Amino acid sequence: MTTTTAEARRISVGIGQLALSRDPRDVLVAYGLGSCVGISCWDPEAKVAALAHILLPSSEGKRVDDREPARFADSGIDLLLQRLAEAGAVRRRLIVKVAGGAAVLGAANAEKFKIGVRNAEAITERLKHHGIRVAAADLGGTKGRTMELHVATGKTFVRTAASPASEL
Amino acid sequence: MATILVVDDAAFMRMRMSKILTEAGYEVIQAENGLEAVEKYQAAKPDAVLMDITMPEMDGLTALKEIRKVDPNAKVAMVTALGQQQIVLEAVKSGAKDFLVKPAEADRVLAAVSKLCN
Amino acid sequence: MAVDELIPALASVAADGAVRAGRGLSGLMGQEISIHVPNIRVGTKNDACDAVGGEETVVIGSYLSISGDITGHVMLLFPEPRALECVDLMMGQEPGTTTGPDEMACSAISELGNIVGSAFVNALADHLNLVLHPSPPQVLHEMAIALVESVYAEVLSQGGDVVMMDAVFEDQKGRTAGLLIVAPDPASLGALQRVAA
Repeated sequence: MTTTTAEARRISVGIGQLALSRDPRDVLVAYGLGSCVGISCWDPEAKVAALAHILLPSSEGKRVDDREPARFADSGIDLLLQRLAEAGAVRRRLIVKVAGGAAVLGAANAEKFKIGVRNAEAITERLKHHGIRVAAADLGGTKGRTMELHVATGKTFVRTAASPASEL
Repeated sequence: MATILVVDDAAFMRMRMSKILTEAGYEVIQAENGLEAVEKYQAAKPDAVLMDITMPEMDGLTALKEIRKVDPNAKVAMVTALGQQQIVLEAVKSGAKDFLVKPAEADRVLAAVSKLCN
Repeated sequence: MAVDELIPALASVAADGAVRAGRGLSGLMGQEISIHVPNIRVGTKNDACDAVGGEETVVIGSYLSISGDITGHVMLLFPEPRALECVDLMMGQEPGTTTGPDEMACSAISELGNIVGSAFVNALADHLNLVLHPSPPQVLHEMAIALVESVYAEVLSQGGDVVMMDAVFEDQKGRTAGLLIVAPDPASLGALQRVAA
């Protein structure tokens, strides 16, 4: 889903989706990351941007559906890096930032809701497996986050229901 | 003037019940959970109790049983969102004199309290 | 019974649950609240959030976890302005009195979720001859999609099928008065299938 103004196109990256762009008018957005994790990638030389919206930690034993290519941390990150390479991004130049993995149903229910923690661990693990250094992380806690990547500048911003956007 | 112990973990419900009862001329004591209910019952010896079920620390059914151990004649009515057949049965078996399902209207609450106190 | 067969079997239970829940809402707010036929399906899509105004909408509501013969999740959500209106109605105040989620407002909303969520759970319990215990409610103030996806992801991560039931409430002016989401844990689907058969 895209909303358009004269200056900017906000491209919503839904659950299990990933998007790439080189268009400086674009802003890639993952809305309301609760237990989900958003991964933003920016190659400042090739000027390629990508955002992935991960739902679950592991694709083990599961079919990966083309309609939700970034559903799982492992296969999603593998695909994200592959698509970036195909678009001309170079892995060692990538600035990668992550946000999400929260327990939004409250601290009292943290025992019942481990999925946020598991997602945070899984993406950290997979990125490490690929030798990617994470430049900035805003993971965990009890608040939902909206993450946006501005293709014009390569900057990533995170905001919550209660607070305005700040750069990650 | 009859004293009623209102037990509910929600401040909103305690406020609502207190308002209904005090406007009808009753004295009201409040407790936030089953444990506090048992303590206050022993300390204040109210004429009747309106008891929620789902509460932290000690639920209302357990508190009902504890209070009746101390006072077999205790007049307790459950006021709860949990209107399930099995739960009504258990409450009555454990000695509850009445069972009101939330949101209980003012008339229903006052009728129940009046019955308990007479 | 396969999970696909469970869905029609749950339909009449869910419909009664929605009626009881709607009565609870109406009673608390002194307003007629109508209920859409509950939508029961395997899996979920973001459009569960459309009922409260879309992805970015901030909602206020409550969450209950269910334990007993069946375990799962119940959540009642309102778009923020509507939640504050509900508080005024519940407290018999002029609409507009409550401007933010202060302590008493949060208690009211929490209790609203308790009553409405429990009403639905009571229908499940009585129809299926079970005993179910909702937890004390947890008040929520968050982006709708973050809440819905968290329940969805947690249930999905436990393996097996995600069955979600949602019912949208409307007031007399046709405005959304609330969204109720009920999701059994996958481990409980077997128990549900046995009793619903």
